[in-house]
Amino acid sequence: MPERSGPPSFVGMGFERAGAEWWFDRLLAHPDVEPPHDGVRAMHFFDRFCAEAMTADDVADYHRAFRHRDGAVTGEWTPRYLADPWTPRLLARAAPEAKVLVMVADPVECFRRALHDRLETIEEPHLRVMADAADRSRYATHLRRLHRHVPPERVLVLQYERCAADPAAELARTSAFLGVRPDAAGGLPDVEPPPLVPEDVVLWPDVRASLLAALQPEVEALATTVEHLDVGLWPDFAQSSTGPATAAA
Amino acid sequence: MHPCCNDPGGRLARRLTDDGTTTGPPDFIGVGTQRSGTTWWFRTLLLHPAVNAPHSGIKELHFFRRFGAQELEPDEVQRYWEKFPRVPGQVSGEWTPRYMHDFWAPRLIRRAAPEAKLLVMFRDPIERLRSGIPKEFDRDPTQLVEDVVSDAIERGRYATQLRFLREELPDAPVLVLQYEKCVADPEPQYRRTLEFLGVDPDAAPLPDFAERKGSSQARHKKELWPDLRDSLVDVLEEEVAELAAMEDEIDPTLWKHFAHLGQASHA
Repeated sequence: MPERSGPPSFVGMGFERAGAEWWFDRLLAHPDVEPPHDGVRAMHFFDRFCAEAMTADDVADYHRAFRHRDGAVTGEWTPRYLADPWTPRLLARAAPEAKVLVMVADPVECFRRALHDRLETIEEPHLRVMADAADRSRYATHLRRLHRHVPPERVLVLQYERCAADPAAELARTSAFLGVRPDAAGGLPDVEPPPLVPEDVVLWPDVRASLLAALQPEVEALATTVEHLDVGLWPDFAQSSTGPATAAA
Repeated sequence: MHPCCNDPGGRLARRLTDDGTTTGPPDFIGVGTQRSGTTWWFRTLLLHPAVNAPHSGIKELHFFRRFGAQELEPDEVQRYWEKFPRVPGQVSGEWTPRYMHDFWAPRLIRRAAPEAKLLVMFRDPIERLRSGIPKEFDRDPTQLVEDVVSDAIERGRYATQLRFLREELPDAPVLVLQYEKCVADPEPQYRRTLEFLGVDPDAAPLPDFAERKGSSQARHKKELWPDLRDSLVDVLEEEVAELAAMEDEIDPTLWKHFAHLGQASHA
């Protein structure tokens, strides 16, 4: 079947932990969803354009990474795109028609996970790592930025806990959003989601209380804007489950 | 729990030291923001005899950073207090610009220095970023540029940080200063700062404001290209607008990238 290069059909972002990889793997098991042709799933294409201008040649290089066959969609998933403030504007330029998948998860557990993963590699854990990990959980702020450049109808927000609890339903929803056969998602291999919560990262009471206070307004704002978000699945914020969220039964 | 750590309304312990000064919790803490002229302003304030620095002479103690990953114990609070000497009539404090961005610091300040007055100096967040990025690479050239830039942008979310500071420290007096005003006409801002600290500005001669400047990153600043400049304005515009609405002292027309936000309210 003939293929042609071009901008990605979709770009995934958010949830900088193993869960995004797990979800993208499941998505790629769909017969009509394809990764970048060189196999690099998280391309980090936009990362460097905080330090240099993105040129037309750069955009052409990006497009060459994606080959479409008729009836199929192709895309990449780079978690940090969601929180990197310069990315939405560039994404709208490099892939103006792309649909965007955003994955969010319990911000407190994401924070713990980020500390767990990054404490091993960064020497100054108590400074930028902690502040950065909290900033990356400001989902409502990130989503608001994204919507300035990608209209809400081209953005699907997924909640990791719902994907983990009922992957078939969420895959069908994702497939429908991407415009591929939802029924084909039902036959995907059943792979257990990776554990979200490391047990070896302890948040001291002061830190935990501060983190909750900092992120509470973000969760409340997210709950009022994202359909299908079930804040009840985030125990620390369960009391915020107001707004249009349609909690899973 | 040491009673002083959990008693915001109580008299905090003061200790007499060998040199005749007393130590105790800081009278003031500067909590923001990095690369905004805080070194210059702190050094200028120290020229007044009623304002004292920590024993070490170091402006930025970064005391609270490690308590993101370990508990702040009462004996640590006591050690913090011992860093601040003063004689009667003097005030003593420090200025660590990143306290405001470290989400766990305000709550710890409430425990360790519940009566401290807080100082914040804001500068055009895009100019702050342009100055902060080279400084950060000076400190650690191995960092990923995207991490440094992302962090620098987040530090410019002034309204969010100030709102959070006030929520976490509802009883703390906060003085907001604007760097560009301090540069353009320092004397009124100097007086305002000292009066806020409870110090008589006229008890000493006015300082030479041109002295005591901190390090400049002007020669290392990179020009911004349109995509990045527009992204920064895009991201920070709502923060600047909210800050200007919260603080009469902030005049967005002094921030060239955000002047359009202030033309109505500061006409």
